Order: sequence, then structure tokens, then C-alpha cells
Amino acid sequence: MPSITEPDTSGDVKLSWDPKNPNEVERAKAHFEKLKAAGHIFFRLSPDGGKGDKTSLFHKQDGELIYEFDPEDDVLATKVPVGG
Amino acid sequence: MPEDLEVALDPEAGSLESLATRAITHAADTLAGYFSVTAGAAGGLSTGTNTWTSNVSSFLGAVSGNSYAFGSAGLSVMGYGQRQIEMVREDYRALRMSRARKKAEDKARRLFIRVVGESAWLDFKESRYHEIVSPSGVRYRLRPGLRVQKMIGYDGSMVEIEYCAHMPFGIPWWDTMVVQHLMLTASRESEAKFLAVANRHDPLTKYPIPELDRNAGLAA
Repeated sequence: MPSITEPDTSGDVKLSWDPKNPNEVERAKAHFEKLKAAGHIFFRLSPDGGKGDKTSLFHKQDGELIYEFDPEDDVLATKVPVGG
Repeated sequence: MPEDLEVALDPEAGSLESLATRAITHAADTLAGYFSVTAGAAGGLSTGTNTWTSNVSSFLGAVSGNSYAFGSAGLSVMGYGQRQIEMVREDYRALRMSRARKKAEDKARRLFIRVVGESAWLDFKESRYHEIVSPSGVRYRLRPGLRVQKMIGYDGSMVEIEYCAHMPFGIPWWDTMVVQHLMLTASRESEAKFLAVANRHDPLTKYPIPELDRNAGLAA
């Protein structure tokens, strides 16, 4: 199932949804927009985790920066790191 | 520590009195078992805390030949003073927090492996650093809890500068590695964003640094 994963003090927290369920998709989209308004940036994660064929033109690029919600996407949401 | 005693000493469980009461219960039950006496025979335990503690005190005193005082300034449990109870409580709280943090780091490390892939993870375990090439062609080395090194030279083995940008403290270091990896590899835009927020530092020496690995408990 696609999800939005956010790093936090427990490791990470994940919101998953069924892309065929309109209510769940709506809830996920609202969460995405809320995080976006709070300054988060989003990276697409591939379902097979870093093993996708990145040379394929038809493969959604793993780790790609995204700006709009797509109910099929597995996404990592994070605040921009702070300088240390 | 027995699981039931662990629960009895749970500092989040409530008042000091309830904490001590449950610790006494555990101790009394254990001793009753050892000496094959029933709770009834062990001083006529009642539901009232004061009666209960004085009965347990009598029981323990009879068994061991010592006397256990329950002063008005606080409870004394098995000879432990109030301050000692608080120290045990604090130690138990620290233990629970360190367990929670270790669990979080393990979870974050699994996310890191998922994002970078098994092959990169195996490389990391062998070399003790995670090396990436950004869309602008720059080679970086990443280590959990340490700065990002920008590598130069014909073989990419010299450190030109170090960048420090991380997630807020309290978030696992492996999560910071995930975010650094994604920002530096996703696009020129995200790489520029990372470099814009990171502080720059003169380099130490290239990774791995065995002494830092040993101090962090990461030495192979």
C-alpha cells in the first residue's frame, strides 16, 4: 500500500491508504497538503526499495523530489535539515 | 529483573506510595513462596496499606531477624530509603528511554536500507561510510552522526570540505542519513537546498575514522 513516511523520534511514523478507497485517499491528500504547508519536502520511494531499474524511461525515479500528491506514490516527507 | 518486578517499579505507574506498595507486594509474595507460608499466615495481609505494610514489616522482621521501619517522612521498602527509591525510579526511566532510542535507531536503519538498497548497505558495512554521487557529479561520503564530506581528487579520495546539516536532535541518526542521501541524490535543486542550509567546516580526515567508530560503538 502507498504511504507517507515521516522520520520522527520513534524512527518514523507512516500513514498508509488504499488507493481504491476514496475516503482514505482524501485523508492522505489532506495530510500531504498539511505537511506541505508546514514546509516539508517530499521524495518518491519505489515499492521495491532502491532496487528499481532507474534506466527505464517508464520507471518513476526512486528518490525523486515531488510537489503534488499522487495516490499511487510511496513518499518520504521531511523537514529540511538544519545547519549544525 | 523479573518482568513483574519491572512492572512494579514502573515510574509512570503512579504515586511513590503505590510504587512502594507494589514492590512490597512482590517481595512479600516471593518470600511467602520461599518459606511456604500463605499470605494469611504472613501477618494477616489486609487491603489497608498501613496495616499491610506493618504486617509485612512484621513478617519480614520475623523471617530475617531485622526490623523494617516505615517512617512518617516516607516509605521504607525492604530497607530502601525514599531517596534510593527515587534513584531506582530514575535509573529505570533512563533504561526505558535508551531502549526506546535503540528501537527507533533500528527502525530508522531499516528505512535507510530500504531507501539505498541492499547493495549500498553491504558497501557501507564493508567501508564504514555511505558514498554517493550527486546529480551535479559531486562525490559525498556520509556517516551516521557525522558531517557530510565532499570528496575531490582524481580518485575521489581527498576531503575538500565538510557540511553539517541534520534532523533535530532526538530523531535517529539513520533518519538523518536517509534525508541527506535523498537531498543530495534526488536533483540539483534538492542538492542546492541542502548545501544552502548546511554549515561548512574544515575537514578532519576522510571516512572511516576508526577512533570515532570505536567511540560510537561501530567498530567492526
